[in-house]
Amino acid sequence: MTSPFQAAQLGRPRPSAIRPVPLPRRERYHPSPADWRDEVIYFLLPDRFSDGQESTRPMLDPARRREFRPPDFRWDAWAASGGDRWQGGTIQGVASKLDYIKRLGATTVWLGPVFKQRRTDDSYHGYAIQDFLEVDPRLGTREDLMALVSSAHAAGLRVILDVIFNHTGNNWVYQGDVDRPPYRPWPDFYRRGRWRSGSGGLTDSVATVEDGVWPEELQSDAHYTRAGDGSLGAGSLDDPHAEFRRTDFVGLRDVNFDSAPALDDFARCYKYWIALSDCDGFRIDTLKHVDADNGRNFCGSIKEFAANLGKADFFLVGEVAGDDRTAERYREVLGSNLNATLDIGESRRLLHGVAKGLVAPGAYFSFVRTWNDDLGSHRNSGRRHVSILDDHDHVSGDKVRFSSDAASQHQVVAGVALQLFSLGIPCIYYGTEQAFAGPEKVERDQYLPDYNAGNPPPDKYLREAMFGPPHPRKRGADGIGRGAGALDTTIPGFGPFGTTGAHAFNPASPAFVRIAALARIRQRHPVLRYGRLYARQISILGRAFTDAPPGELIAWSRILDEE
Amino acid sequence: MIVNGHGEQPRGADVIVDAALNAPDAAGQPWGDAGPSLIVLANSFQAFEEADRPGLPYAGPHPVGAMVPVRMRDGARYVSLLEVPPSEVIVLGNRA
Repeated sequence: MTSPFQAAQLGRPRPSAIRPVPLPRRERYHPSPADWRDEVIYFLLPDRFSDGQESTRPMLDPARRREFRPPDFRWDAWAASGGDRWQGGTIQGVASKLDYIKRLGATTVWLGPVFKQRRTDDSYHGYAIQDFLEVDPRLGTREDLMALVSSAHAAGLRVILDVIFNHTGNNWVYQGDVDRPPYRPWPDFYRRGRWRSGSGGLTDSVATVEDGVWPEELQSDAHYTRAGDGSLGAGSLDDPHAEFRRTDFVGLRDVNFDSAPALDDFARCYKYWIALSDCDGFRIDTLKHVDADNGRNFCGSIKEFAANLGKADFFLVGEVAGDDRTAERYREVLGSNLNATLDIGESRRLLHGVAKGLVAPGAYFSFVRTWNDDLGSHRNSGRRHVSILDDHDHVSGDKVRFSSDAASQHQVVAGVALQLFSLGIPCIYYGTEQAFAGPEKVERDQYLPDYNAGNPPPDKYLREAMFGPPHPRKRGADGIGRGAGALDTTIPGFGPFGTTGAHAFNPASPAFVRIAALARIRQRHPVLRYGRLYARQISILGRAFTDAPPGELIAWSRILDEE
Repeated sequence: MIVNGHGEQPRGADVIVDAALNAPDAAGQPWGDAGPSLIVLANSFQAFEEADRPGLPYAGPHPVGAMVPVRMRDGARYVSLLEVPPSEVIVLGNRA
């Protein structure tokens, strides 16, 4: 049912400018949790999760996966579908699966970016925004997003949105109609050329909501670094004008924070979404590519705004790629303006290795025990980390999920257990609970030469579509819309395990059942969320107690007071 | 917390526990005459077995609710875990 607030907001178009507009204000906002360590996060890509139509197709049995491939199934077409095509997931689809997520034991949904992409682009991942104040029509509407957050709160779940302020989409070209000119070091830069238009061409002026970038404040040239295409790894962490910070991000236009209004304008855009949707936190993309001082100011501004709405601890978790010391640096500089960083560096690789019996557990436990901690006890350091076993990027390490080449359909539970009962806020990537593993090895070897191969390997095998679409959307603007006319029936959908047309929402799967049981215990016992952590030695066959070697029992304690 | 780090074979071992919390005279611990012990709070294999075969009792090691006695050897307190199946998880606690 639409509330008066929703009706008032949705009865008008989204603002075309962000500075002069009073931000929406509800009578009440959903409060923050007392401690984010109480949460179990579930991360999903909206395009790859659910279209809400699963009842029209069978549930996949991975053991019979070959039966879920039509006679004309082609591996190259399946892989191409996953690589750069919208699959058809929607925000309404996510809303239809809240019960599934809750049943797993997750308490917070981290929703991949939902903001409007260029209508002619196939940036299904959502990280190439054209309109920062609108939801992408392929995913739904502002109303859908508001309804999702409202439904989640009613179900006892929270919602984190995925935001980007380091860069915008590829919404303009450089002078001379050049897309990706070579990098120019600071303080040099290029002139902007023409805007990209809604039809896929170029235009001198932004005449429609599909041209250029919105809101209109972001149409100022001064908002962009305009340094061209450099290396994402070049330069010093201490240098705010380092190449890795000034370069466009694989063609996505870098934002210039030497221009004071840019930070305020982007912050105000995202405040709009807090005020409108009542979301509970942000995952901040590419935070490392924004210098730490501007990162602190952005986060501080968001925190203040949310606190003033009654969200005393609006959750902000940053993506800081690279080594773990870099993430630690951002936690230090941003202080309490940033709740946590994602553990996507060495700790993620250690989680994989320990859970697969390839690495001694002590390597992981000593790692998490030495997290820099100025919070009084190492038991508190977990609140500053979101642990990751799998995600959509794997910015370091293999570009395939844990369960690829796993020994069983439930081996992934060993990794999730380390997350649930170790320090840090656990984050479960969609499909983990179904042990998504990609095609079988013999199929990969024969038909998929880019599977975890290349420099870098492609991301697509981390992003199978949970709902098993029979077909993806058509390319570009032709794929916008809900009907069959928006689908490309010439290629298969990018379903899990190398299938098409079968969904994988199975609450009885070997991994799902186990994770749900463990998550319930975590929720019941505070010691499992807040306790100090101690790795434990083991003794095999009565021998002396020693640190556990790889592939044996992994043992540790959490201790809180007398428990 | 106990996780079998082997993906294909069961594993067992004696596992060190906190000596102070699991001492016979530990403050606040409701040990009976049997002495210190830990209770099984979760067993991932049992959870799957019971969901997969409803109505059939779990017959594997360390069912939920079972007590695992704390023993002492060479000055160390420990519990014995038997035959934890591959990649399975057992959670022990001193309070139910």
